[in-house]
Amino acid sequence: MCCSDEQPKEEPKVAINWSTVLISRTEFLKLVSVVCSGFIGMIVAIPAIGFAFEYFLVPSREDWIKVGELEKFEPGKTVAVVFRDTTGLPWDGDCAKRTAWLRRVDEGNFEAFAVNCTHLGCPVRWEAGAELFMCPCHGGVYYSDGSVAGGPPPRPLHRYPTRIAKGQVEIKVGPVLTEG
Amino acid sequence: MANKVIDKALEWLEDRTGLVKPFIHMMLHPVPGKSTWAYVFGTAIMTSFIVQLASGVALSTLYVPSGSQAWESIKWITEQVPFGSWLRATHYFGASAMIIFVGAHAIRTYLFGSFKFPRELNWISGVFLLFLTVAIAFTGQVLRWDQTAVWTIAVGAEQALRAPFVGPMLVRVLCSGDNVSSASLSHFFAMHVFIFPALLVALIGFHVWLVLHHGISEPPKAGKIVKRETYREEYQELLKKEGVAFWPHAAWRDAVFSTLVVLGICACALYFGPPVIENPPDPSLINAEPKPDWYLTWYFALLALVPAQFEDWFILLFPVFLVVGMLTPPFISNTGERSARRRPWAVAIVVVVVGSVLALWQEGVNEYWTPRFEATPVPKTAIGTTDSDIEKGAKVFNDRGCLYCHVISGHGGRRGPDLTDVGERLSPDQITIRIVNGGVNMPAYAGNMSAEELKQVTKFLESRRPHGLKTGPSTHLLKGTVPVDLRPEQVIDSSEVSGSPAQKLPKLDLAPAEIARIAAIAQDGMTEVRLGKLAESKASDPEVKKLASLMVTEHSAANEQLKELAAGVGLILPPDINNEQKALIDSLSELSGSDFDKRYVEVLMDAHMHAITVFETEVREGSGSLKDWAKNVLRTIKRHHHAAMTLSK
Ligand code: FES
Repeated sequence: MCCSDEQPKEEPKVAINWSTVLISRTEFLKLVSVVCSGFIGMIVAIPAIGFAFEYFLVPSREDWIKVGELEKFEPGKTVAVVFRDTTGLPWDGDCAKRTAWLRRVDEGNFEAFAVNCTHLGCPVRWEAGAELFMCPCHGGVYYSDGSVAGGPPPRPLHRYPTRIAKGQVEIKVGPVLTEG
Repeated sequence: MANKVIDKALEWLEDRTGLVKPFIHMMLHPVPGKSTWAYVFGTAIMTSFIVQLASGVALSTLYVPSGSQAWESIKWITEQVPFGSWLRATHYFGASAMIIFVGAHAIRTYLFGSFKFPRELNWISGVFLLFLTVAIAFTGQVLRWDQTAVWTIAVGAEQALRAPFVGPMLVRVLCSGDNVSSASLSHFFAMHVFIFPALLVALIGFHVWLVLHHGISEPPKAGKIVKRETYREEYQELLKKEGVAFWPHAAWRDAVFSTLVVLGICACALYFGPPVIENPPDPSLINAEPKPDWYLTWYFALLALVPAQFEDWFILLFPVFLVVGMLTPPFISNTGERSARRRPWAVAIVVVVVGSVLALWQEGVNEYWTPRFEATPVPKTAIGTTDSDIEKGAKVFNDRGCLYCHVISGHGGRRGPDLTDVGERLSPDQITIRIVNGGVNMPAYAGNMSAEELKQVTKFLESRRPHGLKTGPSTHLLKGTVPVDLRPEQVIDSSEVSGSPAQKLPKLDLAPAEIARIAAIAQDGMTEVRLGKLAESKASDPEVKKLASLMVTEHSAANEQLKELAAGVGLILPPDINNEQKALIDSLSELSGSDFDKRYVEVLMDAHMHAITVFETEVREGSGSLKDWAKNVLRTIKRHHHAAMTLSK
């Protein structure tokens, strides 16, 4: 109503007219508003997103983890060893516990396998009677050396490097899931 | 009097907010008069969502999203807190109701052609709502933070890992780090209670706005065509002619149906109770069988059933296919017929999709692809004999894990074939070969069983003859390949098995058809040598004798080469010729003089004729060094055939 007797003007547009942005007050004010909004958005979003995805900013770690005394393991036997994930959070509780399959091949040699089936990640079980690892999900089967014996798994079981240090068997554990 | 007060108050409210009129307008907006019960699913989703919001917010007041405490807090909520168990149950069945009605709503709008002009965006926003609903449900399942939850993340990670290049990155996003931890739980929590619901609410707002903006689509009539130019006018006319106010002429159905939905949720909650909290989220407890909630069972079955060679593609592309497939309808045809009567393809698609999902769901419930670790051993009564070897064999069968995958007389798993009557189907040799070599899904037991055990278990299996039948004709030779029901992945030298049981076979990378072919070729070759030796001593015609010794030298050489090549690829050849071949040699050795000569040459011709086809197949379809070998030997075989033919004249 206030403006009804003004000259007929061009329809005002929401979008910025870039060619007149430094000449026209209207266009410039649009620019100011957009820049301010964008700034607020960035200030709010960057730390929030950075925080939510902080794990991309910390490098993955690998650690040698003690899993037991050398004498504890019998040659030719595959046993489960339980350890704690060293990369977890202080309040992880039981969910930072991990299992690996450890086989003492002979006196000085160990093989350690991730429990995750290479098919879809279910935990494989060592069936001592059959001397096979079997997966409960789709019946993947592995031989005692982790190689595929049957079923859908595409790759052998993931192996952890092993070593013996000061009478202790140690396995080197990294980010199991991302390595497959 | 009271009415007047209310009117005044509303007037004031309208004056100060401007919201009353639009609200009244919305409630009374005209909808097509013939709308029916088919239109109630949208509000059913809304109602279930309200159940979810109420129960969810309530649950969040005690739930602790911490790796070490989530499980306990849920246990506490369920067992100690008044209404706790009830809220968890309604939250679960509310989610189920949402998923069911999102599905029903999608099917209804698809079959009614409601996605067509001008409601394309109704459909598209609806598709996103559908996937968002599944995402919320799935993240909610993880929040239960039991054994299944932690392993579900591992399973998801393994699938994400198949993506090229970005696989490891996706895994890290999924786990919120390098591994399952408290951080994974907290991130899932944030998604489940903040991010996804916020998106859902926003999208629902958009979706409902569109419904109001375009009006509820009228029930389709066969023959009534949607045209871009005229649709809107026609719709307005229809509303004028037979439109009724949404409130209460359509709303009452929504209200009644939603009440039924809520009653249904309550009934299920009452009857089934909350989802069981399984073992604690301790990944070191590995006797876990992670399974998704019911609404993803069909997908879980699909993953289990898809053939290995397509698996990577499937895992990567199927989700994309689902989303794209769901989005396409308005792009493919957004005008034309709406009635399902005139859209047979649409009906067919719905029938096929619903049918496959149900079938897969059934498969997923049965889960025959999993070994049954809890299977009970084959009992004495089923063994049915006191023969000590057979009994020991049964024990081997039970102890060595055969039982997990094979049923005998109702005991055992169904991963592999039922062996209740295996003695009637396979000969002992075939059984042994199978056990020692394994198959696609079966491990080769060569290195995992002693020769003694192998003998016992074979005996046990051989004795599985519920109908008292004998095995059919054994392997044929000179006339083809190893019988189809054997399909050996590898054929094995049984002397080697009994000699050194500890030696394990490498996994073989040959097509079953080629393995069978090579096995048959090897036996053919051995038969030639034996026949040749026989003829060297028995033949009367010197020409035949000469040919016989040629057979011996050349076939021996070829056999040696084949053995070496086979060993190179991990294929172990049959140790001996088969019974039919033995019978053939026996029958020949009974002849003498020119009778023998004649028959021998006949046999040579026949055998080489057959060998030519087999070798040609190998040259055509074989692989690697075996194929090259076959190419070379084929020439020799042809020469032999020619020589035999010349002699026969
Ligand atoms: S996850 Fe192990 S076989 Fe599928």
